[in-house]
Amino acid sequence: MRRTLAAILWKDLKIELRTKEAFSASFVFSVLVLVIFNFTLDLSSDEALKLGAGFLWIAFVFAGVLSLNRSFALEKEENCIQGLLLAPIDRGAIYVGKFLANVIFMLVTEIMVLPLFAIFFNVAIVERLWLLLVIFVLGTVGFSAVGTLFSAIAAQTRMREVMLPILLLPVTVPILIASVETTAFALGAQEGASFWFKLLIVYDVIFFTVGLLTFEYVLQE
Amino acid sequence: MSDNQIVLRAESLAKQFGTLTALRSASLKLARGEFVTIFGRNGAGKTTFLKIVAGLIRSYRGSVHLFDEDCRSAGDLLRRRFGFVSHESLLYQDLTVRDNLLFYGKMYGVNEIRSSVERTITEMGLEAKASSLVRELSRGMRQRLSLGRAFLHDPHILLLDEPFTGLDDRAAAILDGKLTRFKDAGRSVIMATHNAERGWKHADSVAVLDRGIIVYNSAVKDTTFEKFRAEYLQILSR
Repeated sequence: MRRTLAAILWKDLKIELRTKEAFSASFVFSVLVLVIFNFTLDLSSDEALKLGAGFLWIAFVFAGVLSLNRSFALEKEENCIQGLLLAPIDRGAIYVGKFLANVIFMLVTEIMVLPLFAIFFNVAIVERLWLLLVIFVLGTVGFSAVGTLFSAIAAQTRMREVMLPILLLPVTVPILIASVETTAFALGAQEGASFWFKLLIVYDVIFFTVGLLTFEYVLQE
Repeated sequence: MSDNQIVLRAESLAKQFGTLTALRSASLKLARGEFVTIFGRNGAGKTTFLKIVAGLIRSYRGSVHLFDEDCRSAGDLLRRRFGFVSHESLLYQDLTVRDNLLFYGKMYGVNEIRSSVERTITEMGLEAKASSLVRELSRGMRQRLSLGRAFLHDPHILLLDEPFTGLDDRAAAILDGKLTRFKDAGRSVIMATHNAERGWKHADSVAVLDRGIIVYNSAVKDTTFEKFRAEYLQILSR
């Protein structure tokens, strides 16, 4: 299974490095969201600290949706997904490979956007950078675990771009709230977030397991 | 055809997509080294039949046995024995010719993958395009690469869905040569097509699928092309 998922990950990364479609769209969209919030809301430092985490995750979520839409769209082109299904591989490996690729694409965007967020909202991030990165990983893992599964479902519908956010956003509300709360804690806007950290971890474990177990049925014709 | 020679046995296959009946009752046996061509008009159920046999459709009525194992319960390893060519190339447009073959080689656990890939590239006459993106290839070259992909893991049974569609003369000649060598090596083929001449050329048996039912099945040695074509045209005109 490791060899298969490594091959799927290698393939997705290679295509993305060549086309930069997912990254460029996600990055531009994230920056645009932050710019709009920064210029339309004239926030004081305290307000920026309190609301910044929410703005940051709004940017990440919409950028993530763009990236996830691309994930299975490229498998639908020339029906490549059929090529994967014909291969003698565990279909869970397809899920894990695509999931890892999605996590990497989203994290790269998030890491690139974070310094811009700090500049736009005048927020100090250096002191608790490690904690922010841990939160990004936890939030992104949960979001991608659900997103990879729903991206495979949405890719089989005619209104793929519309279907994915409709399916994805309601289910990811808990992880988004937890991500915002923990990010606010990391930025120093609130004290204590242990409940939200636990929720992030539990959500990640549950939805990754659900995705892995149900993916095979999602792909059936 | 003795029973121990049978490599694939599909019995009473039926499949419904919503209100559309794709297959009503299709049965077929394939012996070791045999080439069966399934003819039929568009929408007759040929692609659905091949997809069920290949394991791409898992919800259906009837049974498919490959080397006496039920394909439903036998698991993924049986799929290694199939090579599948459909009208879509199943190739990643933004990967190069070589990277596509390397990827599929990894998926099938091909031994000595690099040399197998280079050999396939040479056999398909794509040496000059090995580092080109699939997106940049002509349709004929893409089809050649698609054939290379299907043969890369040395399958025992080849499933071909209209493989000659869109092939240029060179690609058609390569496919003809590959099919002849494949059959000579004792491997088996099921090809679906609506082209009587192309389908007849390599066939040991011919079958006609009409509205989801195999309505005609004969060994090539028991008939002639003219006789078969007359019967085929009669079925099509019903």
